[in-house]
Amino acid sequence: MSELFLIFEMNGYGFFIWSAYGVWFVLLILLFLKVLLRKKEINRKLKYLIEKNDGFEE
Amino acid sequence: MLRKLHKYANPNKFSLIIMPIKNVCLYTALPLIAIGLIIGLFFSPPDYQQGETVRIMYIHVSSAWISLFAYVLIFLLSVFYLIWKFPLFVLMAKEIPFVAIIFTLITLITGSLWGKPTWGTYWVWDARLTSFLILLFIYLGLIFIDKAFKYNVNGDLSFSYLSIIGAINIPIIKFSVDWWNTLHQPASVIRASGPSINIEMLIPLMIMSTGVLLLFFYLIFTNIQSAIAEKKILFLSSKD
Repeated sequence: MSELFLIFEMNGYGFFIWSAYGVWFVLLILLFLKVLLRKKEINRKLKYLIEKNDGFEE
Repeated sequence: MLRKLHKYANPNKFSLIIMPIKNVCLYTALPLIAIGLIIGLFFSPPDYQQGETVRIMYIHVSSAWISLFAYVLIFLLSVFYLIWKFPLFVLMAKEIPFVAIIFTLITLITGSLWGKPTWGTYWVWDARLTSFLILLFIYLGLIFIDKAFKYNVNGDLSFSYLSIIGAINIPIIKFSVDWWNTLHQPASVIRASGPSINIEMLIPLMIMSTGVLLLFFYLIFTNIQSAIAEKKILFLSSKD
């Protein structure tokens, strides 16, 4: 338990180190989600339009 | 040579080509980042001056490199667009700023969190920090131009010209620590006389940077595919 505490405490600099890693992680996850959700939404719209146009041509 | 490249300038073909590359980038990036994080946080040694705070370097420096590399990429694609007028070049360039601005933001925030225990302050208006903040504003400007002139040739030209003008900031960022007296430390990895950083710190930094670079490429390639699909939507919608 005390070893775990030492790892997180980082000689008194834990707040700065873990905050930096936290910000890095959260921003990357948000970026990842934004990129993937945009792709999903565009693919949904494209699929709908392709189906609609195919039906129109028939 | 240029004629051979013409066939790849077709957005549909390009989208198919980058599909496997994109997946390789993601599946290589994730383990590399995980390894880099574990070594950087738990196995690399503390710095003799900065102590444990040096661990912030693994995310700060890798993000800073990506922010600069992304701008060089935008600059080159804009120049190619203005020379050869392939719309695919500017389409690719326009997908970079949103991803790059997040890496720039990460660089500024993590740098600030590293600055407090090292320099005693979160922020100083010194050359390196200020020029990096200007890079953030240039990325914002490029995003605004893209949003304001969506699907417009004038917008493509404005985007390219702004990115070329803004490129002057890149050497300023790189050499700011040599040209002016700054609180920021001088380059210790990318320098003419070779890296001065300890090998035990250099290895996790390189692993982390490679992982983040591959993740950056994955995000850019996914965005490019989305942009190509968006153009198809516009075309299909105009048919209705």
